[in-house]
Amino acid sequence: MTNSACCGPGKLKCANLSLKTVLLAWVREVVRAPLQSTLSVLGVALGVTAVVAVNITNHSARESFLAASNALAESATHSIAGQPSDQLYRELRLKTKYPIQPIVQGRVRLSDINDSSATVYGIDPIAYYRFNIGSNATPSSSEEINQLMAEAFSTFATADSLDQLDVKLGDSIKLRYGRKNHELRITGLIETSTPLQEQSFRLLFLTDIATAQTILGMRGQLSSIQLQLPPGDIVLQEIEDLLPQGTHLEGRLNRQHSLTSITDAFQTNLTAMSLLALLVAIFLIYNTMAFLVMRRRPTIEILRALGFSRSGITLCLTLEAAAIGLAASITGILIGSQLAKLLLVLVERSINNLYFPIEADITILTPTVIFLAVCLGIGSTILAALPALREAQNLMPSFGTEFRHLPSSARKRVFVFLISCSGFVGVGVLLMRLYPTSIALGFVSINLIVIGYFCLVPLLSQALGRVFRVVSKQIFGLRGVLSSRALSMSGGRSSIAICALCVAISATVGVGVMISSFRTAVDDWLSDRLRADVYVSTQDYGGQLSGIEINRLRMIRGVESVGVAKWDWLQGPDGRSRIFAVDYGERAFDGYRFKVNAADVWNRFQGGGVIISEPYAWKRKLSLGDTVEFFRDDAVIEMPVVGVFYDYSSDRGVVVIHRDVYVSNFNDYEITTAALFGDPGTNKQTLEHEANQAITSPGVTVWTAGGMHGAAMEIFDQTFAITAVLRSLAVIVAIIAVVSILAMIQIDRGRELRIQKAVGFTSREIWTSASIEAGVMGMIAGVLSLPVGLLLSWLLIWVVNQRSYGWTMQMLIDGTILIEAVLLAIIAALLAGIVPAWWLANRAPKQDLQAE
Amino acid sequence: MGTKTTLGIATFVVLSTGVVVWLMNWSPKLEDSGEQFQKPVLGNVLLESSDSHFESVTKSRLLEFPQDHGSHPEFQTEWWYFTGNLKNNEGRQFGYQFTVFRRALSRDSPNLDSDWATSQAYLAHAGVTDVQSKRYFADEIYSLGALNLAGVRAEPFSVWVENWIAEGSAGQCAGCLTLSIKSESDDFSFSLHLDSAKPAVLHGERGVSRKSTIPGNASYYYSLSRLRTSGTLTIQGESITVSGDSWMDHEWFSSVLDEGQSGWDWFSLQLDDRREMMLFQVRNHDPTVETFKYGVVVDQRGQSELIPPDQITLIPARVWKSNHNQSEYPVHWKIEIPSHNIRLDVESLIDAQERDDSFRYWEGAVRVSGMQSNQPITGLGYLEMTGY
Amino acid sequence: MVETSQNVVIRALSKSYLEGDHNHVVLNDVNAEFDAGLMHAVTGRSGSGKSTLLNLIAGIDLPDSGTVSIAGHDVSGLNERQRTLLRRQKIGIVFQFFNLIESLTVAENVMLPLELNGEPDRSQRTNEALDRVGLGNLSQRFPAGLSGGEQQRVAIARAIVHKPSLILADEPTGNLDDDSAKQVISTLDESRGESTVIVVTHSMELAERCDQQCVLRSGQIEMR
Repeated sequence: MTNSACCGPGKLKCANLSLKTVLLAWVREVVRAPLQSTLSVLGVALGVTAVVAVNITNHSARESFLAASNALAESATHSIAGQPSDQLYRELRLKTKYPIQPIVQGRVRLSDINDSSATVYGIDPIAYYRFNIGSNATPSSSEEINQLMAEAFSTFATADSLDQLDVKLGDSIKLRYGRKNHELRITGLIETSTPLQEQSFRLLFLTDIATAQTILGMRGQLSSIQLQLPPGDIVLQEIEDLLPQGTHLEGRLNRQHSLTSITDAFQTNLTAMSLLALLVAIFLIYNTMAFLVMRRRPTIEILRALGFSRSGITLCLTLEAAAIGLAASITGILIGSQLAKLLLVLVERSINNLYFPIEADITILTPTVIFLAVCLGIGSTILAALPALREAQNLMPSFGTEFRHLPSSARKRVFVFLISCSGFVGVGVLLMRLYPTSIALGFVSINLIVIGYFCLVPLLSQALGRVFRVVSKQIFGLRGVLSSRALSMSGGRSSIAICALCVAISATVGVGVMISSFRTAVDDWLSDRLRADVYVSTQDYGGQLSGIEINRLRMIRGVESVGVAKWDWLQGPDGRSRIFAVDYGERAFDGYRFKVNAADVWNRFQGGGVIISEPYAWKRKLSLGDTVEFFRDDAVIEMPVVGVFYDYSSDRGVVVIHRDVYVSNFNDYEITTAALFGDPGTNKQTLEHEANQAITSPGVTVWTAGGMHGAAMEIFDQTFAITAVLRSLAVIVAIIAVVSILAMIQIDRGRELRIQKAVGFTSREIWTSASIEAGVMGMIAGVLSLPVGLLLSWLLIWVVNQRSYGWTMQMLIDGTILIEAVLLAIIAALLAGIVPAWWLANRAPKQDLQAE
Repeated sequence: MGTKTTLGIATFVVLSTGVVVWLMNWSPKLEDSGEQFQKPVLGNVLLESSDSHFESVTKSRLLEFPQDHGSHPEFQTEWWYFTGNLKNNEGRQFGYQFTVFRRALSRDSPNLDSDWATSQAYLAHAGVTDVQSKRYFADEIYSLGALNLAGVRAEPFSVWVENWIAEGSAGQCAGCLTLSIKSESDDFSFSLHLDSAKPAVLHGERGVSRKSTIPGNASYYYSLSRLRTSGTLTIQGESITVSGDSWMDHEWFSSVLDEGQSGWDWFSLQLDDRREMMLFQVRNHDPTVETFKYGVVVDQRGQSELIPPDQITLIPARVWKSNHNQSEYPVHWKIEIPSHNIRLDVESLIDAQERDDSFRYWEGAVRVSGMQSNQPITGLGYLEMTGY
Repeated sequence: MVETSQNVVIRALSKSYLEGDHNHVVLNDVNAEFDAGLMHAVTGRSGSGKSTLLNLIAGIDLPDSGTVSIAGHDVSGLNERQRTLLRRQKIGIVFQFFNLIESLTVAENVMLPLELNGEPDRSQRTNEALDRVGLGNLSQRFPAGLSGGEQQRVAIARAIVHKPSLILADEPTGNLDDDSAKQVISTLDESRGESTVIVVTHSMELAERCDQQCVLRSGQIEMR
C-alpha cells in the first residue's frame, strides 16, 4: 500500500496505511454477531467435514482392501494345475525366484461322522509362511505352524470345525481315503476372522505336504503349485517353458478380479458421493462469503467514503475469509474424522460379512487428508470469496438513494447463465465423446454436465418463483407476495439454497434410479440364466469333476438331465479370454438374453458360433459378424460371434462356446461345472443333498439355483448398502447447508421482518409465511432436481457402469423414488426454514428498529 | 450473481472437482510384499532352548573328520559359517559372509510315505561388504530339508539351500577342506574357492565350547582359522576378481544360552603376521553379572593356545545406531590381553553391516591394529554381535 | 484546463442514468464555483440531482462529461485509487444515514481518518474534534447508545478531524428533531473558514445560515 501508484498528482500524500482501527472494527463485528459468525464457520466446516470424512473412509477402506488382498486366499496370482510333481516344484524353486507354494488336497470321509466328507489340505509350512505374509487366516503363529512338521499326522483346524466334530485340541479324528484309514491328531487351531473364511475352512484339515501325500496316496504328486507372479507375459512364458506335458498355468484372475471389481465399485461410489458433497460445500462456501460481504456492507461503505482503498477492503475480507477457513478446517477435520469412524463402521458392517475383515479403527488422519482439508477450508473459502470480494470492491457509499444503479441488466444475466450452461454441457459432452473409455474423465464430464444444468437452476427457480408469486397473490393476497418475494429476487441467495438442495436431491434420485435399475437388471438376469435346479462346480482351479461323478449325478432320483460345462482360459492373438464351454441344452440356452443376436442363434451356436458377453464385446470392440480367435498348438481357431448377451457376472467378459465345438477344437474333455435339471416337482433341497453325496473331488460346491440367486442378490444389496449410506450423508449435509443458507437469508431480511412486525404482523404470521416460503423453495428444488437426477442416473448407467464394467442395463424409473425426492426436498427445506424463522419471529421489534 | 460471480464459481467448481478427482484416485502403490519376510520364522527359534528329545553337549567326544563336517541331526541346531576379507588387485577391500543354519523341528524324521517327510528346516544367509563405496548387501533363503532343496553331506562335503552351496573335499591336514562357495541374489553374488592353510582348531575342551557355567549350555565347535580364498564377487552387475583369507566355523548344539544371557560379541581376527585370534563373550541381561569369555590364539604353524578368560578385556569404544530399530552396536572395541601383552583396536570397516532379515544381528568386516610388547600388530577380521 | 484555485469549480457537468429503456438526465451542463472557506447550501426538490452532484464532487461517481475540480485536482481526471486518496486527505463526508461504524467507539470512529492518513497526535486531535462538537464526554461510548443528533455530530467531528479542504454533508439534519438539528447546524457553521462546506439540505434554517445558496432545478443550477 505504499507503492508509488497510490500517489496522486502533486499534493496528494502517500501515507502508510494503518489497519489497526479497521481490524478492530472487523473483529468486534465478528464477536458481536456470534450466531452469524458461527453459521459462517459451520457452513464452510460442513463442506470440509464431508470431504474429510469421505476421504478418510476411502483411505481406510483402501488400506483394508490392500491388507485383505494379501490374505490367504488372495495371495496367489497363478496356479499350476494338472497334478504337478514334486520334481516340478523343486525345479521351479531352483530356476525361478518368485514365491511359490505346493498344495496337496483331497476329499476324505470322516469315518466317525456318517462318512461325511472333509478336505485334507497339505502345505509346506515354510513356503506357506513366505507365501502368505500378512495373511489373516493362518495358524496363530509361524512357530506354531512349524509344528505341523514336527509330528506326523498332526493337523490344524478351525474351532468351528472342532465344534462340529465334537472334538477338542489334542484329540484325534479318524478318516478314510479309498480303503485306507488314517488318524489325524489336532495340534493347533486355524484362526479365521470372517464368516467367509470360516466357511472356506470348514471341515478342512491343514497338514504338511508329507502327511497329505501319505493320506491321499499321492507320493511325488501335488494337487497344484500356487505362484505369486509379477505382471508380464515374459514371466508367464518363463514359467510355461518349465512346465512338462499335462500341467498348465492358470491365472487366478477369476477370484482376485472379483475382489478388485468390488473394490473399484466401492471406490467409484465413494468418489461420486464425495464429489457431490464437495459441490454442496462449494455452494455453502460461496453463500457464506456472499453473506459476509453483505453484513459488512455498511462498514465497507463508510470506510470507502473515508478514503479507505479497495485493496484495504479486499485485505480485510480476505483475512476474515482465511480466519473462517482456518476455523472451519479445524472444525471440519475434527467432525470429519468422527464422522468417518461412523461411516467406516457402516462400511465395515456391509463388507465384513461377505468379503474380508476390515478394521474400523484404522481411521487415520493422514497428512494428505489434513492438507486436503486445510486447502479446501482456507483455499476454497478465499477462492469462493473472490466473487464476493469483487462485489465488495465495487461497493461505494452514495449520497442519497434515488439513482442507485443495478450491476447488470437482467437480460444480460440470463445470457450469462445460458452461455455458462451450454459451455459446461458442451465441454462435458465433448470430453465424453473424445475419451469414450476413461472412467475419470467420465466422472469429470458428468460433473460438467450437471454443473451446466445447475447454471440454469437460478433462471428456472426464478421463473417458477414468479409463477408462484402470481398464484400466491391470488390465494393469500399481499402476504403471499411477501413470502414469495425472496424467491423472485433475481439470482438471489434463494437460488443458491435451491441449487444446493437440488444437488443433494438430484444425487439421491440419480443414485437411486441407477441402483434400482441395476438391481432389477441383475435380478432378471439371474432368473433367466439360472435355469437348472442345482449346480455343482469346482471352486478352485485345477479341480475337475470326474466322469464317475457325472454318472452318479445322472443316477440321482428325480434328475431329468445333467448338463456339463467347463470354465477355462484360452490364449488368442489378443490375449487370454475366459471361456465357458457349455452343453446345458436348448432350454438353458434360452436363458441368455441377447443384446444382438443372429437369426437362429441356437443352431448357429451348436454349429460352431460363439456368443460373447456384453463386457467382452465392449472391451474388445466386437460385435455380430466378427470372429474370436484362439490358439490351438500352432493353429489359430476362428469362431464367428453369433450373439452378444447381457451378463453381470464379470467385467472382463466371457466367451461361451458349445461344449461339443470346444471339445472337437481343443480336445479337452474336462468338466468343471455340472447343472442338474430335475423332473418337475422334485425337491431341490433333496437334489442338493444327493448331489453333495455324489461328489468326491475336493473343492467342489453344490448350490441350488435359488440359493445362488439369493446369495448373489445379497452380495448386490450389501455392496450398494454403502452407497445408500453415503447418499443419506450427502442429503444430511445438504439439509444442514440449506439450514445455514436459509438462516442467512432470514437474517438478511431481518429488517424487512421487523418492519412487518412493526406494522402488525404477528409472530405466527411471519413464521407461517417464512415456512411457506421455505416449503416452496423445497418444492422448486425437488421439481428441478428430478430432470438432473434422471440425467445423472442415465450418465451413471451409461458412462460409469459401461466404462467401469462394460455393463449396460435398462434404465427403470421408479415413481416412488421421484416422489420421495420431492418430499425429501420439501421436508429438508421446511426443517431448514423453520428454525431461523422461529428465531426471528420471536424477537422484539422495538430494539431492532431503534438501532437503525 | 453477476457475470464474474458466475464465472468465478464455475472456474472454482471445475478446478476443485479436478483436484478432488485426482486426490481420490491417488494412493501410494504398495509393492508386492512377497519379497519381505516377517521376523519370527526361523531366526528366533534358532537359539531357543531345545525340547528334551535332543542330545545336549555334556560330554566331550573326539571329533572326527571328515565325518564331523557333516550334519548332526541328533542336535537341534547347527551352523556352518564362512566369513572373509578379500581384495581385488588394486587393493579395493571387500568382506563376505555365507552361512547355512540347520534347525530340527523334531528329533526324528516323521515316518510317512512322502519325499517331503523331514523335520529339518534350513536357512541360508549371505552378505557382502563393499568397503570403498560403503555398501552392504544381505540376503537369505530358506527351505525344508526335503526334495534335496536343502541339506548337508559329509563326504564329499556339501551344505546347501536351493542354489546356495558350499561344497568340496577333505584336504591333507586334520579337518582341512578345499571348498567352493556360491550364492546368488538380486544385488550380489559370489563364487569363491577356499583352501585351508591350517588344520582345524578345536575350541574349548577338545571341541566342546561352553557358553555359560551351566552344564549342557555348550556346543561342539571347531574352526578353520585361515582358508586362502580367491574367486569372483559380483555387486550390482559389476564383476570383481578377488583374493584374500576366509574363516570357517562349524558349530552344533541343542541349547547354548542361559535364561539370563542376552547375546554375544564374537571376534575372528586374522593378523598380518599369519597368526589368528578368536575371542567371544556372552553377555547377560544384568550388566553386573560377569560375562562369559573365551579366547584362543593360533600361531603360524596352527598350534592353538587358550587365553585365560580373566586375561580378556573387551571394552566398547564407539557405538553405531542401527537405522532399523535403534539398536546400538559397538563397532569399535578396545581389547586388552595382559597375559600376552596385547592391546588391540578392532574397528568396523564400515558401520552399517547389520542384517535385517529373519534374524537380526551385526556381522561385519573389521580392521585390527595394536601392539604386542612394543611390536605393532595389524590385521583384518570379522565381528559378530547379537542381542543388541 | 487545470484549475489552480482552492475553490470547488464545476464546469459543463452532465450526468444521466439509464432507467429501464429511459435515459434520465439528472445534471445537464452545470457550471458552478463554490468559493473556498465558505459554507454553501444546495437545495432543490427530491430527485433534482442534489445527491448526484455530491457523488460527483466526492469522486464516488463519475460524470458523463464536464469536470469537477477540488483544490486544483480535476476529480474526473483521477483514477479510482487517486480519487480514494483525494477523499481520504482532502474531503470530509457527512451522510444522512449510516454514518458511523457500529463496532467502533465514538473516539475510534473519529480517529479513523487520522489513522488512514497516518497523521500524528491522533488521540489529542480526536479529543479536540469531539470537544468542538461538544461530545468530549461521550468518546468511549458506542454509536448505538447515542441519540441521532449526537451520532450526526460525531460524524461531523470525524469529517473535520483531519482538517480537509472540503466538507460534503447530505441532509445532515434530515431526520433529527429541532434541538439536535440546531446543534448540528451550529457545529457545521463553526467549521467554515478552515474548510469549504457544501451542504445539501431541505432545511431552510440551515440554508439561511450559509454564505451562499443555490438551487438545482431541471438539471441546472441556479445561484441565489
